[in-house]
Amino acid sequence: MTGGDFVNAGLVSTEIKSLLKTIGFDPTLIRRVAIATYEGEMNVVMHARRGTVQLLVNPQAILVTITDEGSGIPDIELAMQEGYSTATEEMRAMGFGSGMGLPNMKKNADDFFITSEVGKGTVVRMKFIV
Amino acid sequence: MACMRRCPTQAIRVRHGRAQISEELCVDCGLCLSACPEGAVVPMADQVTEMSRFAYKAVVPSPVLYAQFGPDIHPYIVHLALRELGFDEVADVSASTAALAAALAKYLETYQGRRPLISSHCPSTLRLIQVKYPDLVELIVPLDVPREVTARELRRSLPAKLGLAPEQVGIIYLAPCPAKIVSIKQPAEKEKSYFDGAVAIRDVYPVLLPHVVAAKRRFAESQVPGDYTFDPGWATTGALTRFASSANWLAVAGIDQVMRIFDDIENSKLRNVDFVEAMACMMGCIGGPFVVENPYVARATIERQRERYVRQCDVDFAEIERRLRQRYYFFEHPILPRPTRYFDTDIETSIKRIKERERVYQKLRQIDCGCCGAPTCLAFAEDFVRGEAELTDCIFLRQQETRVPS
Ligand code: SF4
Ligand code: SF4
Repeated sequence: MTGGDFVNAGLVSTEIKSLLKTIGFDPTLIRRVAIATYEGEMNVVMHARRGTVQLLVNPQAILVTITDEGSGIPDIELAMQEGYSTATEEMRAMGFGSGMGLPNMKKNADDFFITSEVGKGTVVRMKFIV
Repeated sequence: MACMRRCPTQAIRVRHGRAQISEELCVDCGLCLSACPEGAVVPMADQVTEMSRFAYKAVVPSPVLYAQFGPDIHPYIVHLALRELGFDEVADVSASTAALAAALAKYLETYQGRRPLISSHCPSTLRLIQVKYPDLVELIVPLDVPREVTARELRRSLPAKLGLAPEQVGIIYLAPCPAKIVSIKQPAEKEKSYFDGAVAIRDVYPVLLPHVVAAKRRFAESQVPGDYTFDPGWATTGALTRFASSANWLAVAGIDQVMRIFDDIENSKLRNVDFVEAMACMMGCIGGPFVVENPYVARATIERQRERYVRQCDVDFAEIERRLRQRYYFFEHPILPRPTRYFDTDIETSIKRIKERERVYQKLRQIDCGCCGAPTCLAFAEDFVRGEAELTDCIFLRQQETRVPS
């Protein structure tokens, strides 16, 4: 995923979703994974230079790891608050950056870990129990 | 081959020179019919002549029919022509359209659940949701559609009025698409359709046209009866939302665009939208696979007809609320997901097979040439894993194998 590439934003989560549907997971579970991954993908597009999504699947759990290279998050606790956003005016005008991204990811995942280093980037790990 | 590439759900494979359609995946959008130069794909539809078994024949045309003959043809001329063709009664859907639009507005007003709701009148879109977006079935508005409500009311009133047994009265629909025909023959949301049959507009057009021309010659506006109503209905995208919706709405047409919007809904991206009107055909039903007129021309015709001939029927809001309370307008059954079990096995084996699919896919050229009979290299890899294709069906892998190492 590339920062600033709003045209292709959403493709990765759509692809992951289609993979999970093919495997035959429960639709509600897939929805949670899709929403969380989409938010993560949007965060990379809005705030980072580039990023990757890693998907690990086994019959017990789905693990999604989103790693990005970017400015990082100085105060994670603040960033986790609903409504907090550093999105620019333009991004908001396009309907992104409502400050629901990280809280929404946390809400949809069964386990949620985030680490970030200012100036380097952010890693989000999410676990979804099947 | 064109049909195979065009299919939005990759339901088609070409094996031994013949197109095979997976019933499980097909959503009846008809794109393959439009794409096939040979007309090899034959849909199920009735012919007008089969209706002779009924003592009394009523016909309900899709409003798209009125847009097939040009803006100077008053819709009532089409009614006269259909009668000359042998139908005893022509019933317009506009009364049901108006009632259902009001019912929908009411329903949206009081609805509290997950959003956005999705319109229910394009059966191909419904099939698409059942097959590809099982998580979205709960968003489908559970209200029945104008054609069925119209037929239901005829079925209730006609036999008594005519003094005939119910089975002597035939009610048929003139359809713009295979999806609506399938929805009448194998409905997803009720035991049995209120129609006895469905004829494709393109099949009735050639026999109807001479009667339209003749009826026009004799026609004078004063012939139109006082209780006649006309409205082009929901034949073009956006018409329903214009009719019904006070909420934040979105109208989308064309199956690829519909799928993009459904993906957005699944990702919960469309947060501020309350209602989505989704139609499988470009521009809505006027772009249906069974119409004759070019959809752009048809749209222009509809706009002209809207200006000239619209005669709205009165909507009795109190009656609609009463019927909503009685659940008269609701589907008999909820629409349920029809998930396709690609691998039809437990999750663990599925995961193994997905990995195997990936391994095979990496060996392929990934140019989606289609020569193997599958629409994409990934679909071919999947077919192989399911045991439905041989690796040597791929012309590139076959070459590698037959090249004798020296
Ligand atoms: S009708 Fe549509 S979904 Fe069915 S096979 Fe044809 S293109 Fe595919
Ligand atoms: S948009 Fe209309 S014509 Fe096209 S498939 Fe849906 S109901 Fe049929």
